[in-house]
Amino acid sequence: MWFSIALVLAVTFFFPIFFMVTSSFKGENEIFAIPFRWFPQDFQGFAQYAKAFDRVPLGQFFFNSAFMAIVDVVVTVIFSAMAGYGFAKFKFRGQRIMFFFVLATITVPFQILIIPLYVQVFKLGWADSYAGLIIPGIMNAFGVFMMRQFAYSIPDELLDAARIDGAGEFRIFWRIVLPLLAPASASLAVIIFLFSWNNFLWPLIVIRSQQLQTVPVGMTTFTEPYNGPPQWAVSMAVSTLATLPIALLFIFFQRYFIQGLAMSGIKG
Amino acid sequence: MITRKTSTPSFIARRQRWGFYFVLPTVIFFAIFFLYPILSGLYYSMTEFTLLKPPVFVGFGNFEALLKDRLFLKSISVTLGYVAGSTFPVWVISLFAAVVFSQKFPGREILKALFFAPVLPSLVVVAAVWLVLLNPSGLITTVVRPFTGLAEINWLNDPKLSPITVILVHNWTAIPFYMLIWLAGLTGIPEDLRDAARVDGANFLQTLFRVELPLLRPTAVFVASISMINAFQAFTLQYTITPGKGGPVDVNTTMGLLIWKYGFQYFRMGDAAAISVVLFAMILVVTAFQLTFTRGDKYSIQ
Amino acid sequence: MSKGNAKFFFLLMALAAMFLVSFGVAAQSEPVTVKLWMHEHPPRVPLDNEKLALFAEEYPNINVEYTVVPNTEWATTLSTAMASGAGPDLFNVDSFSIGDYFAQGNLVPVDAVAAGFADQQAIYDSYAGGEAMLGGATFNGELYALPTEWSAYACYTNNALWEAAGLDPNTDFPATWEDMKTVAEQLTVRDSSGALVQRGYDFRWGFNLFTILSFNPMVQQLGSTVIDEVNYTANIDTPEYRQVMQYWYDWANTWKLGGPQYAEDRGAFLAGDLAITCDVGSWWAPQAEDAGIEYTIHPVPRWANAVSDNGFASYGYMYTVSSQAAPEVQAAAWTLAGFMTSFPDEYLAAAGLLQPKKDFVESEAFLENPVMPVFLEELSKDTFNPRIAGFTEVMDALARARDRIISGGEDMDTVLAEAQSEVSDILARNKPGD
Repeated sequence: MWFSIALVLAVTFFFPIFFMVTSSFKGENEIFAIPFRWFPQDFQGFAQYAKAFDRVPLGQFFFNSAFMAIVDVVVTVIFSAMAGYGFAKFKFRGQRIMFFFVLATITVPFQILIIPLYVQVFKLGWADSYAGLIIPGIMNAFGVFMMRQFAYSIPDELLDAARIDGAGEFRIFWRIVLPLLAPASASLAVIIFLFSWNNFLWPLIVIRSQQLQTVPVGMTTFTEPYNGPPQWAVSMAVSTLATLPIALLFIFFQRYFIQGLAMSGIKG
Repeated sequence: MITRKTSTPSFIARRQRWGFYFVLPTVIFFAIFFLYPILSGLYYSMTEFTLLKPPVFVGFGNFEALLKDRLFLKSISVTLGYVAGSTFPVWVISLFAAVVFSQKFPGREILKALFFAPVLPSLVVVAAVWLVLLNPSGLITTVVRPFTGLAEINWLNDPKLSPITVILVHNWTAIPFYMLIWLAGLTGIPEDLRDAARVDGANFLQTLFRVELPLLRPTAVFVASISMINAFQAFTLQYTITPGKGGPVDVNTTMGLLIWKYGFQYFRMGDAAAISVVLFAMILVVTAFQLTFTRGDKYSIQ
Repeated sequence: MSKGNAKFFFLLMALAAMFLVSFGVAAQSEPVTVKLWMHEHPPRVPLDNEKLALFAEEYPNINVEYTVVPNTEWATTLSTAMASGAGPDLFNVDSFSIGDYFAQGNLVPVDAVAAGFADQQAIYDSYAGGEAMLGGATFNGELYALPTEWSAYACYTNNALWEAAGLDPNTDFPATWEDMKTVAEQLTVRDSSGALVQRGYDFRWGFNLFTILSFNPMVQQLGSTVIDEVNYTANIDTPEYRQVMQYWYDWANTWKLGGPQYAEDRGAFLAGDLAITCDVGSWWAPQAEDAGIEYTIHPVPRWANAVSDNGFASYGYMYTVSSQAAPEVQAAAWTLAGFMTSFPDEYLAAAGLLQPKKDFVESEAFLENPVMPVFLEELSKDTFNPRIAGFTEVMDALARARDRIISGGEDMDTVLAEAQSEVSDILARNKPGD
C-alpha cells in the first residue's frame, strides 16, 4: 500500500519535470498535441536548444550564473567557517552581541533590503556590474550559524596540540579547522550554489545589460515573448538546461544537498 | 598543553583576540550590507524619493498615504490569501508525504527522489513549465475535462481562479521541500519509541498521532513559520507566471511585487520602502510567534 | 608565534579587499568620448557598428562607446543609470519615457550646428511634414531629439488564412471597427468543443502599454483625448471611453473573438493562428516574411462615427543628449546623432526603421516600396503617445480599469469613475514644476 501511495505522489510531482525534458525535444506544435504524446514523435534532437542559443547569449548567461555561484560559494564557505570557528572556539569582548547581530540578519527578509541596498549599490557605482550582482549577497548568516554548530564538535585537544607545536592561529584554522569542517562545508557549498544559481530578484533589479544577465533573468525572454511567436519548446529546452546543473548536484551530492536544505529552511 | 593553559593571562587574552579577527570580516560585511541598508531603508520610508532626486523628508506621510492606497490595501489581502493558501495545505500534505516516505517499501529511494525533483528548478523554470501546462486549452484543462466539461479554462487570466492556480503551482514546488524537513524530524525519532508504542497495542495512526507528532512539535512549528515567512515575501512566481506581473486585476500583486513595482517601475522609492517596513513588521510577528513556541527547541535559532 | 601567521592573514584580507575593490573600478574615461546607448533591435546593431566605424574615420577625435541594452528593461535601465550619473551621453530614448527625462531636466535641446544643420528650422525642414512630423521630439516649441525610428501601426493580414475563409484582404479589409467584428468572425475558427483554434483579429492585451497605443487612440477617433500631455489631466469617465470599453468587452466576453487569455497577437500571427494584427509597425515586415507569411498592409480601422481620422498612436525612438554630459561631449554627441541619422535608406532597408527624412520619403525607391507609404500615411494622421512623466503608472492604472471591467466583470460606471480619479492623482503627482 505504501508503495502505491508513494508511486502516485512521485508520478504526480515528477510529471511536470518529465514534461519539461521531453517537450524540449518535441516540435513546437507537438507540445499541445491531443492526445498527449509521452515521447516526441516529431523528434527534434537538440534543435530547440540550438534555437535558444541563437536568440540570446545563453552561453554568457550560464557563465555569469556560474561565476556568481562559484564566487558566492567560495567566499561564503571560507568566511562562514572563519566566523563560525571564531564564535565557537574563542571568547572575546563583544562576542555575544556580534553573534546575535549576525544571527538577526537571518530573520531579515530580503524584500526589506532591496530598496536601500539597491540605492547603496547604486551610489557605490556598482549598479549593472559583477560587483553589484555578487558582493551584496556574497555572505550568508545561515552559513555562519551552521559552521558554528559544527565547529563546536572539533576537539579542543587537537587545537591545543597544534598550538604547542607552534602553529599560528590562522595556520591552525587553515590546516586543521577547515579540513575538519569539510563535510559541513560541502553541505553549505551545495546549498549556496542552489540559492545563487536560482536567485532571481536581486539580479533582476541590479543587472541591466544583457551581457551581465544570469540564467533565471535572461530566460524570461522565452516566457514573455514580446515580438515573436511563443517558442514553448525552446522555452522548455532553456528550462531543462537551467535546471541541469542543480540536478547533477542533487544526483552526485544527494546527502549534502538534503542535509543543507533541511538545515537552511529556505528554497532558493 | 597544560603549560599553555596555565600561562600568563595576557597571552590567553591575545590568543582569544583571534576569535575577534576571525569574526570581524563577517561582522563588517553584515554591517555594510545589512545594518546600514536597514537603517537607510527606515529613513527612505519617511522620505519622498524618486532616485532621480535626493530624498525629501516627509515624516510618516508615506504611511498615511498607504492607508488610502487601494493597491497597497489590496496587496495586503492578496498576500494574506497567498500565505493562507501556501502554508496550511503545504504543512498537511508535506507531512503526509513524509510519513509515506518514512515507511519501508521497495523502490522508496527512487520514488522519493522523483517526488523531490520539483525542488530543484528555479521558480522561473517552474513558471515556464506551468505556463505551457496551464494554457487555456492545454494539458491540465484536458486532464480535468471529464470533471469540468470545459474546453478552455483561464487558469491564469480569470481573476477568481488565478490566485488559486498560482498557489497550486507554488505548492507543487514547496511540498517536496517541506517533506524533506518533516522527514529529517521523523527519522530523528528513536525506533524503540515506536516499537514501545506498538508493543502497547497502538496501531499505526495511534503511534503517529500520540507518539511521533508530539515529538515533532519543533519541526511542525519550524515548517509552519518558515513556510509563512517565505510566503510573505512571495515575488518570483507572481512576477513570472501571472499576466501583467501581478494580474489579472492585481489579484496576484503581493506586497513583495508591489515593492518592486513602486520602487523599480514607478521610482516611488519612499513608498516602496514604507511598504517594506510594513511587511517587515508583519514578518516579525511571525518570527516572534515562532520563537515563543520553540524556545529551547532544536530549531529555535533558525 | 603568530607574527608570520598574522602577516599571512592580513595578506589574505588585503587580497580579498583588492578583489572587491577591483570590481568597482570603472573604465577610465577619455576626453571626448561619447557613451552611446541603444535598445536592442537585432537587425539594427550590425548597421550601427558599420556606421560607427565610418564615423570613427571621419571624426577621429571623437570616441564612441556603444552599448546595447535589452528591450524589456530599457526604461528602467536608463532611468536608474541617469539617476546615478552613470548614464550615457547620447541615448536612444523612446517616446514613452521621454516625458520623465524632460520633466527631470535630463535632456538638452538639439545643437543644430553640431548636428550639421544651420538651425532648428533647417532640421524641421529636412523631415517630411516638417515641424508636425517632429512633434514627438518637440517640447514647448524646442526640438530635443532626432528620430532613429518613427513608427505608426497598421494592420497586417495573413493572406493564406483569408483565402481559406474565402475572403480577399485587398477588397474585404474592414475600414471600420463595426466591420472589423464581422470580418473577424468570418476568419475565426473554432474546434468541435467551441475552443478558439484561430482568431480573426485580436487586440494586444498582455502589455499594458497598449492601453495607450491602441485603446486610447480608438477613444481619440471619437473626438475625446484620454490623457492631455500639456495640462496633465485625464478624461476617462466619458461616453467615448465607454464606447471603446464596451467594444473591447464584447470582443472578449460577448462575441468571444479573443481576449487576454490567448497567445499575444504578434506571436499568434507569426504562428499562423491569427488572421489580422494591427499592433505592429513597418519594422515588423521582415519577421512576417521570415515566418513565411504572405501579407497585405491596411490602415487601422476607424469608427463609423469617427470624428478624428487617426489610427493607433504613433511613437518613436530618438537620439537625445544628457544634460549631465560635459558641453564638449554634448556637442560631439549631437555631431554623432546628426551623422547617424543621415542614412535613412539603409536603416529602413536593413532594420525596417523609418526615419522620415524628406529627401528619402520622396525618393522613388521609397514610393515603390510595397508597404511603407501606408505606414507613412498613418504616421502623418496619428497622434504621438502622450509624453508625460509617470507614464508607466498611468498605463498600469488604465490597464487595471480595463481588466476590472473585462476580466473581472465589475460595473463600468464605478470602475471608470475610480480610474478617473486614480489617473488624475497620478498625473497631478507627476506634473513637472510641482
